[in-house]
Amino acid sequence: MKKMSKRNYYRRFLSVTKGIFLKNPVLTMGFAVPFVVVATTSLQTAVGLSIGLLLTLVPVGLIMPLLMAKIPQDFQWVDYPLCALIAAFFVLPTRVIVGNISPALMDSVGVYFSLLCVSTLLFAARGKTRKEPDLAKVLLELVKIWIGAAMVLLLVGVVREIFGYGTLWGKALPWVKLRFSGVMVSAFGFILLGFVAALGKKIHRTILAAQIWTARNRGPIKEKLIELAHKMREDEEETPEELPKETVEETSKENQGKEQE
Amino acid sequence: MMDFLAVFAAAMAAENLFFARAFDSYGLRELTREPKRILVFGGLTTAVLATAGPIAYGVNRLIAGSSMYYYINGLAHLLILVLLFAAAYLLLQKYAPKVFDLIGQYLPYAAINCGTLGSLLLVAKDPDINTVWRALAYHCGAGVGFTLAMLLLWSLNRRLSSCNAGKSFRGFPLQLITAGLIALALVGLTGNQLPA
Repeated sequence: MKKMSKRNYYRRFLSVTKGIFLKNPVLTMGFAVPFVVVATTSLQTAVGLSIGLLLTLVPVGLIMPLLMAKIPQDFQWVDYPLCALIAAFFVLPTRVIVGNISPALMDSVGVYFSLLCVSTLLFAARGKTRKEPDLAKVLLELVKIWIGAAMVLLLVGVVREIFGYGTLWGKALPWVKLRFSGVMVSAFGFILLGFVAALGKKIHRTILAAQIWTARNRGPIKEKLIELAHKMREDEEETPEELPKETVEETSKENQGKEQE
Repeated sequence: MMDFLAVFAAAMAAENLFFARAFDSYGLRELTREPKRILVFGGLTTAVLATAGPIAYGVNRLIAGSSMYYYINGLAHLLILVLLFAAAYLLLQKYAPKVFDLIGQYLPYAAINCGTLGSLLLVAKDPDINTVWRALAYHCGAGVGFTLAMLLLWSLNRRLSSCNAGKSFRGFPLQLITAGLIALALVGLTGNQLPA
């Protein structure tokens, strides 16, 4: 039994941190892309945006289920604009707080700070928590979503600041000899985010593969092995390459035809 | 007319809402799954921008002198979008139920998103867009450019799904890297000095 639980550490870790590592809102779902790709150009902007996200995401996520419970069924369509408006009211004090931490940050973030109130992350969180009556669970879910997004923001911010400015939190790093101003453009943001997403998938796949290898080499636990293989297959199916089968078949037929020609 | 077309083209290509600004709506993954969804979304977004643009231009001129402009700017523009959405939703539901059945579920996501609010805020900040016509041209161009960008991504995604990419790169990572390469091509048109 002890052996079983040891092997399940990773699975348990993933289920506890669902929304942070597994099904990360930015890396797997593609939410909050503008903030990561364009606005996060340094560690300071990443911290500022993370605070902004926390101070809008959590209160709005907690208020919305309570508010929607009071609104009659016929007017439930107002939840989406209402969510944006409530978030916009929370963006106002957040702007003051973040502006006090670093006044220059607001200039570098530009219009992106105002866009926190219409972030896809916010709407996705609203969809997840709207029917959950337990506020503690809602809070936990929101904090997980926020940690997942903030983690990516910080990582991208650190990489871009080091390679773009040769600094970290404004302090010069003498070991950085080359600086690339190109890392500040949106194109690099997309590419960097793509590589971070791929790295996350690679780490996940490597750990699962290592688990299968360990199981295979530790004795006759065929059932466990099959279970892990299934888990791995399920995870792959969850990835975004879910195009309709017909489309994939059509394209591969086209490719085959071209090859024959 | 030439001025209108120049602003339209600049907003559509060089300052593309998605490739240059990375403004998304409804989640990139969800949106780029089927072309019908992209066309409905893009059409609605363009219509919302074309309607809200001139109104926002007027409102922006009214509040520009206010000492609180820095704080109320975003809220005022969001309010325009919300009111426009509510009016469209109620009118369509009452007078065009067939159209409402077709687009009703997409309307909130297409009307209130990063792309629409971001476009309104960028025009409010840009001193070069100083007439209603220019504002209209920018918003129409932004809407059309966004739709074309999503269609391009969908098409590339369809082709990339059958290519032999590394397993870790398949799906969303490859989609992002492709978007990055197209954005890199567009940087050649503008340089890397876009105002934030």
